[in-house]
This record gives sequence, structure tokens and C-alpha cells, in this order.
Amino acid sequence: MEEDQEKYLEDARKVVKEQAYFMRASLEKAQLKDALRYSSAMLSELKTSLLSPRNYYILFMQVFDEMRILENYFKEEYRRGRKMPDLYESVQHATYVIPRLYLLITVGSVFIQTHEIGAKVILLDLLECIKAIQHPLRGLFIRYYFLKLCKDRLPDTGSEYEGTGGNIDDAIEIIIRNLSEMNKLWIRMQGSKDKSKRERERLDLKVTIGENVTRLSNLEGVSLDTYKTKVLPKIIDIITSSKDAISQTYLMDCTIQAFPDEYHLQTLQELLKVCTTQLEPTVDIKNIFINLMGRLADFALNNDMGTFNSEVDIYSMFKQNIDKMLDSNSQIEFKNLLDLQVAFLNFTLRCYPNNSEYVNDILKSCCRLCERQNETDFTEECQKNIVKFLAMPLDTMSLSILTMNEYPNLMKHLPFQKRRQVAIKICQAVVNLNQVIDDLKITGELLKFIQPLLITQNDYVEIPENEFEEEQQLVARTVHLVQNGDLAIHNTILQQFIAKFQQGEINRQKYTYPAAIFALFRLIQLIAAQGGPQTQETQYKGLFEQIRGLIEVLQGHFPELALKLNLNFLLCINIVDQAQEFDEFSYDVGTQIITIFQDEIGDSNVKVVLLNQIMSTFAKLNCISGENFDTLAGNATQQAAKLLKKNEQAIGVLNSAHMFYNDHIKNVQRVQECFKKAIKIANQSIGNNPKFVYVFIQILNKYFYFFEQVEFKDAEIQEVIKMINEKLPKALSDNDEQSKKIKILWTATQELVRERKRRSIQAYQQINI
Amino acid sequence: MIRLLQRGSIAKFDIYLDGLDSRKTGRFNDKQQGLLKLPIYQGDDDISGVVDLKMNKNKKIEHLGIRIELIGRIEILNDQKQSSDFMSMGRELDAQGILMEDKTYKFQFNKFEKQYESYYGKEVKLRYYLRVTMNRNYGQVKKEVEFAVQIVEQDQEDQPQTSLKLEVGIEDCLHIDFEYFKSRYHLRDVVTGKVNFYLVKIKIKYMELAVIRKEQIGQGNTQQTENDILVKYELMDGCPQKGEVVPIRLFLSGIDMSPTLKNVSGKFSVKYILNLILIDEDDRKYFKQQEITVYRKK
Repeated sequence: MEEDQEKYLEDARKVVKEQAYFMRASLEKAQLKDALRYSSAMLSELKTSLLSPRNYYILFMQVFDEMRILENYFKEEYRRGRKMPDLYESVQHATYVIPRLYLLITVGSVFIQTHEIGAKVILLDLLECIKAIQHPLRGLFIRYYFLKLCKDRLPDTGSEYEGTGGNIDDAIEIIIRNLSEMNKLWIRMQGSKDKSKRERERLDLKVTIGENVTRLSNLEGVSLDTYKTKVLPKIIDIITSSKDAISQTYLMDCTIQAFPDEYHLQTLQELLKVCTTQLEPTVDIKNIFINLMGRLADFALNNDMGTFNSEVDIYSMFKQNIDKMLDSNSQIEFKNLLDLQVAFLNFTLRCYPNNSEYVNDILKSCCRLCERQNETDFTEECQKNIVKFLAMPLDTMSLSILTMNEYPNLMKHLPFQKRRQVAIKICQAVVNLNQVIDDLKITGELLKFIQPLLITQNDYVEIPENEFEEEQQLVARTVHLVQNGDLAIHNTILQQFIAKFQQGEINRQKYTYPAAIFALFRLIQLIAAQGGPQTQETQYKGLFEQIRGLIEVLQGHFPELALKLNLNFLLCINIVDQAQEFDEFSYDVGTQIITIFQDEIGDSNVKVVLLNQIMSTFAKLNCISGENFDTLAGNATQQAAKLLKKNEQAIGVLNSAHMFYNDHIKNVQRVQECFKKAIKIANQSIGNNPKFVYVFIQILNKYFYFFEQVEFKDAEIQEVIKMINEKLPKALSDNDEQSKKIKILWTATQELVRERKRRSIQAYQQINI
Repeated sequence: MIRLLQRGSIAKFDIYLDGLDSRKTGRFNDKQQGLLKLPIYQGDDDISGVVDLKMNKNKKIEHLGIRIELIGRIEILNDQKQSSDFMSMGRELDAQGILMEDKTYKFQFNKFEKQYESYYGKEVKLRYYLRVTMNRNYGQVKKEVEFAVQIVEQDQEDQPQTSLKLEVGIEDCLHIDFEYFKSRYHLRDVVTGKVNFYLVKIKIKYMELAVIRKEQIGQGNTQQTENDILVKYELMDGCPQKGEVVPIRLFLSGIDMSPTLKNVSGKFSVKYILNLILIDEDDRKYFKQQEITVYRKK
């Protein structure tokens, strides 16, 4: 079938080409009669019924180009003295109606240009004659030809044809008539067979009809007033008198696109009324509204908003008409109504960004709409729309819209996955807005909405791990936005979050608890910054206890996490409790850390890292009293000696020295002990492994660290240097990774000593390496 | 100038009509002679001219008299018995005697009677001619020259027009009415009208208008009718829906027509019929015929 099409078109094009050639040859010889005969033969190809609309269009354009040549020749003929009335008659002798009318239109166009006859007379006569083509496709095209040739011959205001040739009313009348007839033919194309194919074919042709509307909009004489009183009513007539959805959709759209936005503003009520009450139920009114709202919104944003607001109450007009549609028992699908609501909300948010009342009203309408539906009506697509509906206002309006009553009412129509989506969108909006959460009521609402993320609900559906993690981190980020100058309120808000988190089970708490804990740390610091607790709710004790409780929950499942949180906890306490009021409490936390380290952490590599962190944390603490601290630090040192590898033990013990000599403690003896112990462990191992020299170099460096605060025995240091000098050549003899590491460290050490010596620092003078 | 050479005959006539330079001529399609271009005489026109007699190198010719006649004749082509002259007028140009040299005679028929239009049809023609004859004891010398008569019917022009209106249909299938705005048309007239479609259940492919010429020869039982389609003119392409009104516009000037001729000398009539035809997709035809009167206008 498709192949046939190609062939039909090819054949027709060949004939057109051939006849056009003869036509032009005759014109060159000034043989008009022959030229007319050949052009007739050429035009006769347009009589075909074989071509698809697309291919017919291709053929038409080919013929069209040739006809321009003939038209120009007619003009020359006129200049040479040919009587146009005679020519206008003689082409009407043609036997077949298609060539006859194409020729007549062509002559007619030239006839008008001679000004010997009024444009209106010829145009109306042509329109009358064209009625002879009742075949939909051929009729559409001959009218398209009429439009193309005559669109510049209209008695438009200010045109050369105005006056005796008619006036703007005639111009409008002519185009409207053509539009009306083309529309009828277009609808007739639909036929009854092969519905979707026909529809496709029709859509291929829509621009030919639309060009009438475009021409109307281009008429100079169509002022706002003319549009209102003469053009729009006629277009509406055409639209409403046909009962064809495709036509109605297209013409509405076309009208909206073609005419200026100010015109639409002034006739909005009529346009909307037509849309809501007079169109076929299958017309996609939503799209029309969306287009219209889109244009008006753009117009509003590009123009003075003041005029936009005061002149016409656009919001109310849309609102009334949309509500009318919602409430009438029309056959418009729920899905489409929802789409419409979404579009309307979008429009309102763009044009009235600060009017939350409008938003709430639209939400109300939407709720009303949803209430009426059966559960099965909420298809995937509808749900998506409701999600959009709920999330959209968040992007532009403050969180306060969460307090609107209608929000939860809409939410309840959604299944878990969609509620979860809304929750995520809300969270994202909150995070993106980066606005502080400082209101109790809003927090309450917010927590209600994001409940799907916080608590396992009845219709819960398992979520992939990575998505789950992402969503929980989003929740975590939300908590950090909590803030209020009144720290009691700040605390209360936080407690609201925590209360929800507590219902959230351990897999969520893994993410939410640390967030809550850090939020509490921050609160505690804020309290301290205000000079300590001012109210009952913000006493440290309670907060500390709460934090400890939260960490304990995590400890069973995530010991490492719990350990690290505890370390941070200690640092937090350390900031606010230099007076050691919570000495015992802090000690307990420290003990807890050691216990977790000892009992719960298995991986030796992890242990090395953690122990390092523990020691460096402990080294910063001043919130624990001396005796307690000694115990803790001692325990930590013991843990170092229990590490898996000798070098780890030696370095661990060496590092524990920091816990005994820092800003808070100056226990020289314990430091010296650490060195001794470390050297002892190192000595035990170096016999078997010359590479152990690395540990010795580190010990040497650690000496340097403490050089100025702590006195060491010179012999002890020299011993270490001696060991290094002895073992180094052997250790460096390999060319493996370890040797390289040793070399780098040793070079750096040498450099350091050289540099200190240069600065004449006393202690280094006897170091010779 | 019309000249007919009479080879081998004793003498030769030429007839020269006066004032041909300024006289209107018309083309007539004669079935036997082909296309004729004839001078046209109307109303009170006289016909006059000269007859040239050439002796063809003879020294003397004896004759029984020379005569010129103006003849109006109806010829039925396939039945010469039915043919007859409806008029004949004669003038004697020369009495019985002996011709010694070439001679020229003037002749004139003043305001000769023009009862019928010239007509050249398919089976019948009505022609006018001049015939000059020289009778001799043995044989004749003859010469004919044809001309045409046209009659302007002012009364047709003056009468008020009535439209031709007709409603036709096939039950539950097709219901249309059509209207020709006039029933009488002059030869260069335009047939205008419209077709209203009230009910269209058949799939119409196109609609055309044909002009039919009907020659009726003889009368009563022996009457024979000859139909000729002069033109077929496509009026509409495709199938209209109910409520559509399709215009009719046909220029008659492009068609070779005579005026309507009614019972010419009891021998024949020529009528014109408009035939409106709808053709459906199975090529079935639905048609309706309407007679119109065609007349000559000044």
C-alpha cells in the first residue's frame, strides 16, 4: 500500500512536470490558449483520489509553484491589453471542475489586482464557485489555494483594496466563510472506517485550516473591539456548531495561539465559557486551559503585574469555570480534571506567588474532586498528579502551606509509594529552601507528611537499599534545619523529631539517630553559648541522658557507629563542662567507649584506626577528673598493647603518650613510661625483622615532638639512634614498598634534624644521624 | 467572394454578393461539407449582387433563358423524399437568345422573407442559397451560393423570466431540489442556478450538467428523434452532505447551439434540454432533464 503511494505520487508528479513544461513553452510563445490547455491537464492531476493527504500535499505544492508562473503571465497579459472579464469567463468553460476552479482563482487574483473590479465581488464569487468541490481532501486544498492566492487581496483596513473593494467586515466575512467550509470538509474526512488512521491524516492537514485563523489575526482592521464583537463570536460559532472533538481542540488552540494575549484577557470569560460548557466531552479542555494559562502567565510576567491583577480577575474566572467543570456531571475523565487542577495550580503559583489563600482554595477543589472518585479511579497517572499537586507549592511558597487543612486530605488518597514520593519531595523542598524549621505547628505537620519516611506503615513496600539510604539522609538533613532563638522551643521541636524517630526502627535510626544526636550536640553548644541552661527543659543532664540513651540503642547493631558517637559526645560535653560537673557521667561514657572497643570491635585494622581516634579524643578532654582520667587513659594504653601486630602495639603505646601530656595534663613520668614500653616492644621484634627500624624512626620522631616539654635520658635516645644506624642499611637493601616507605621517613627525619640544628635548638645538637 | 469553377462546361457562372466586407459571417458545421463560413442576413436585409458569366472560349452560346432563384430548403439527410423547399423566389436575368460574349447581370431581392433560421444539424438542415441557371436544349449551366439567415427574437427577450424549479428524490436515499434561475436563454447567456441537497445517502462521485440537442423530424407515429450531447460540464466533485448548496453556472457561449426551433414548416423541431446527472461510486446515474428555450438576441 505504501509502495503504491510512492508510485502514484511519482506518476502524478511526472505528468505535472511534463504538462508544466508544455505550459511554459506555450507561454514563451505567447500562446495563451495552449497554455491554458496544458495547465488544465496539469491541474487535472489534482483530481486524483489515490494519494494520501501527505502525498497530495506534495503534489499540490508542485502544482502551486507552476501556477505562480501562470499567474504572472496573466498579469503581463493584462498589461498587454487582455480584458480580464473575458479571461475570467473563458477559464470557466473548462469541463472539469478542479482545473476550472484553480484557473478561476488564479485569474481572479489577478483581476482583483487590476482594480477594475471590487476585490469583494471576485472573492465572494470565487467562494461561491468553490462550493462545487465537496470532496473533503480536494475541497480543503482548493480552499487552501484560494487562501494562499487571495490572502493579500482582501479589503483589509488600510489595504489598497479597501473602499470600492469592500471593508474590514467583508475581509472578515470572506475568511470566516472559508474557515467554516474548510472545517466542515475537514470533519467530513473523518468518515467511519479506520478511525485512528483517519485521525492521523486529518492532523497532517490541520495547518491548512489554521492558516485562516492566522490570516484573521493578521488583519490590520481586527482591533480588540472588532475581535470581540465580530471575529471571536463567529469563530466560536464555527467551533461549537461542529460536534467534532479534533476540530474543536485544534481551533481553540489555534485561536489562542493566533491572537494577542490582551485580546484573550478581554474575552477570557467567553473563551472559558465555551471550553467548559460547549465543547465535546472528548475535547482535551485541559490542554486548552494549560495553553491559555501558560500564555497569560507569560504575559503577566512580562507586563506590569498591576494591570494584570486589577483589570480582570483572571484567577476567579479560571476558578469559577474549572469548578463548574468539576461540579457538573460531565463525562470528563478524572485524570484530565486532575491534570487541569495541576495546571491551574501551576498558573496560580506563577501569577500569584504570594497568595496562599488561592492555593488553599485550589487544594479544596481538588479534595472535593478526589472525594467523589472510587478507589480504582486513582490510577498511577492520577497518583502522580496528586504527588505533583502536593509538592508544587513547596517550590515557591514557604513551609507555611503545610498547615493548610487540605493537604492531609489529599494525601490519604495515595498508596504508600506515592505518599513516600510526596514525603521525599517535601523534604527536598525543605532542604532546598534552606529555611529554618522554627515553628512547632509546622513541624507537627511536616512530620505528619513525611511519616512514610519515618515509620513503617501498614501498606509499606520494601525499598531498594540505596534509595532507602538516600531518603533517610534527606530526613537527616531536615533535622539540621531546626532552629529557634528560644532554645526551649528549639528543644521541643527537636524532641518532636526524636519522638518520631524513636518509632522508626533500627534501620532508620541508623541514619536518624546520629542526625538527632548531632542536632542535640548543637543545641547543647547553643545553650552553653547563652551562658548555660535557662530553663528546666534545657538542663544538660536531661539532654546528656537522652543522648546516651539514643547511642545505646545503636550500640547493639552498630558498635563502631556508637563508639564514634560517644567520642563526639565526649567532645561535646568537654566544651560545656570544663568545671567537671558531669565528671562521673563523662567517665561512664569513656568507659563505655573502651568497653565497646574491647568487646564489640573485631577487625584489627578498624581497631588501629579507632584506637587512634579514642586516644586523640581523650587527649583533648578536660571534663573528666584526674583519677578517672588516669584510669581511662590507662585502659586505652592497655588496649594498645593488645593490638594484633607488634608494630601496631609499639606505635599505639607510643601514641598514648599524648593522653598524658597535653593542655590539661603534664604527666612527664607517664610519657617516659610510654616511650620505654614502646622501645621494649620494638626491641623484641627487630631481631627477626630489620624493617622494624621503621618503628624506631617513628619513636625517634616522637622524641622530637616532646623534646621541649619532657626531659629524656640522652642514652635512651642514642640507643634508638644506634639501633637505627645499625639496621637501616639492611632494611633499605630491598627495593620493596616497605623499604621505600622507610627511606622516605628517614630522609624527612634527617631533614628535620638538620633544620633544627641550623636554628641552633639546643636539644638537637647531640643528635647525629 | 464565392467562386465555383464548372470544369468542362460550356460556360461558367460566378455570383458576387454585395457588401460582404461589412457583413457579419457565421460558422456552421455542415455534416456533408464540413465547416462553412457564411454571410448572415437578418431582419429587413436585402440580398443583392452580380452574376458573372464567362463564355469559356466559346464564340456563341444558344440558351433558353438565364434565371436566378433564392431558395430556402429543408433537407432531411437520410430521407431525401422528405426534403423540400419552403420558399423559392426567382428573377429572370436574360431571355432566351444567343450570347456572343461574357456578360454580367445585377440582381437584387429586396427584404426577402426570412421565415426560418438557418440550421445545420445532425439529421436535418435548413439552408438558404442563391441559384443561377442557364437552360439549354441539352443540359443546364448552374451555380449555387449559400448564405445564412438568423432571426432575432425580440419578444423572447421582452417576456418576463420564470425560474425552473424541481424537487426530485429517491425515498430514504436522495432528496434534492434544483433550480435554474431562468427558463429562456439567449445564445451567449449563462445558465445559473443551484442544487440543494436535503438528503444524501448514496455515495455521489460527481455531478455534471449536460446540454442535449433534440432534433425531432416528422410528426406523429413516424416522428424520429435524434439526441446529441453538446457538452458535459462537471458541476460538483465529491459527495455533499445534507444542507449543502452547490451552484450551477454554465456559459453557453462556448457551445455550438442554434435557437430552439419549433415545428419548422411542419418538418422538424430542435429543442434543448439541460440534463442534471449525479453519478455514484458504482457509476450509477441519477438524472433529471429540463427543457429550456434558446433564442437569438440582438
